[in-house]
Amino acid sequence: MPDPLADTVIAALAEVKHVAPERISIDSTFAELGVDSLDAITLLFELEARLDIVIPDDAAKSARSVRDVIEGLRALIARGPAEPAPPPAPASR
Amino acid sequence: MTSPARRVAVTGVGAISALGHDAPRMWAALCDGRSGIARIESVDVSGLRFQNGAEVKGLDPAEHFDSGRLDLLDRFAQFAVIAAREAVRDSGVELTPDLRERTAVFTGSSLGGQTTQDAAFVELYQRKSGRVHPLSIPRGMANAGASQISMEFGLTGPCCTFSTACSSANHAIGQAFWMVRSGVVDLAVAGGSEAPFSPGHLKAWEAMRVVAPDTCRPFSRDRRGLILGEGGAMLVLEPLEAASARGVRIYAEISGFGMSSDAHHMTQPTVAGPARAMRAALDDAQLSPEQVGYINAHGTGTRGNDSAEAHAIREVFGAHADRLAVSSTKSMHGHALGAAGALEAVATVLALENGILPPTANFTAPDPECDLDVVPHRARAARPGAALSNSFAFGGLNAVLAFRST
Repeated sequence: MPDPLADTVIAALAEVKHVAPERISIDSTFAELGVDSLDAITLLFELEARLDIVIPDDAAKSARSVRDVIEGLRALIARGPAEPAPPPAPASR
Repeated sequence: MTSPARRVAVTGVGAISALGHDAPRMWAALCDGRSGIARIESVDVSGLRFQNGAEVKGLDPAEHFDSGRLDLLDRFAQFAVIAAREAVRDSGVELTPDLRERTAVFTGSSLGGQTTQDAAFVELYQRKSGRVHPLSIPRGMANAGASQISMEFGLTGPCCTFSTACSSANHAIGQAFWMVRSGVVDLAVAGGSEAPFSPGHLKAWEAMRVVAPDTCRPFSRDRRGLILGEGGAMLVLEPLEAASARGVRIYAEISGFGMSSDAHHMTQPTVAGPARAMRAALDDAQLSPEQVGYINAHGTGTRGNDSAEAHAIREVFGAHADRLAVSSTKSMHGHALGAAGALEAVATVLALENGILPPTANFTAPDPECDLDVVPHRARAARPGAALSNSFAFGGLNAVLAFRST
């Protein structure tokens, strides 16, 4: 089944890592691809432009694989174009 | 140089920051655990993912400089001169013609005249005016602060600027210290200044995703990033013997400086690099780890820095790490980038002078990855004897200063 969102993520990641998209699959991990923190923020920057969305910092922190990114984006897009409410300030403990 | 190594005293301090326009105001806020972090007012931040910063509030440049002079003073250079004036006045040193020739001015700045450059590009790219202000270059260059200090006091000795991101001021102070110690100069004005609040620059930080949306919580489990700050701070350094002969107040002895490079990654810190810089500073100061009672940490509040720094401190200090007080005053004055090390050096020498350790503000819950006594919330009375002040920069450049009580 074609998955345009997955194709977009893989194309963006291929550009960031300067590799052929064929070398990246949905199951690729950031560790396998050598995606470090600077690659990750560059990928998010690319995806914001390609998908015309804003990706909040907190939504981006936990991604460790291509699948994480795609699932995170799906959740973000499902929430609609409005900026998600900022997470509450950490409670004092 | 053939001169024997001399001991070096800090005899003057000056600081302008979000905590006030002079060093006593900053110190009072640090002792109160009062943070200068608030919503950014100088730039429209409504479209940014973060809104908070540590700005210098209520500064009227016309109260400090005449209009002709201001034409050539970017905000970062204003901070440099204001802090230098306070430090020189505070030291009470008489700048004779001979001494002026033997005085160094070493400053740190990561960005130089960022606001001037931003304004020039708005003129060119947004307003399409096809022209840029003719003073943009001399206002914007990173050494403008050092040159302005040099001209202000007629200081004609060595004068230069270090631009090593967040370690800039520590590199400047450390090199100035070595020059006084070795006898190349007899006085130094050293520190750093930074004015990072411009729209373009804040956008670049937003894209890096390391700025906290709330506040700076160094070493806390739920820390979410750094908070940018601005300001400037300067120290007057001179041979201990000269200071004693003058009979002036000596805040502390600056006794060591250590540098290292991670040679690893542009933004991810290592443990080994900072540890080597701390060891080098201790060696240079001829201090054993057990003699150190306080570290003013780099402590940015990012996940990566704080855990790497805590591990590096454990590696260097071993069991003594359990008896060390470690605080990050960035929780109060923000991360002033090229000025950070200078603000923190002032905080460190005032801690030694006053026997009070400034706290880590905004602390919530301990992080097992940062297993240190971080002096949460409240200042603490203590005589640490000797102290380190850490700065670790993007690019993996580490610079650590060592101070001791006199």
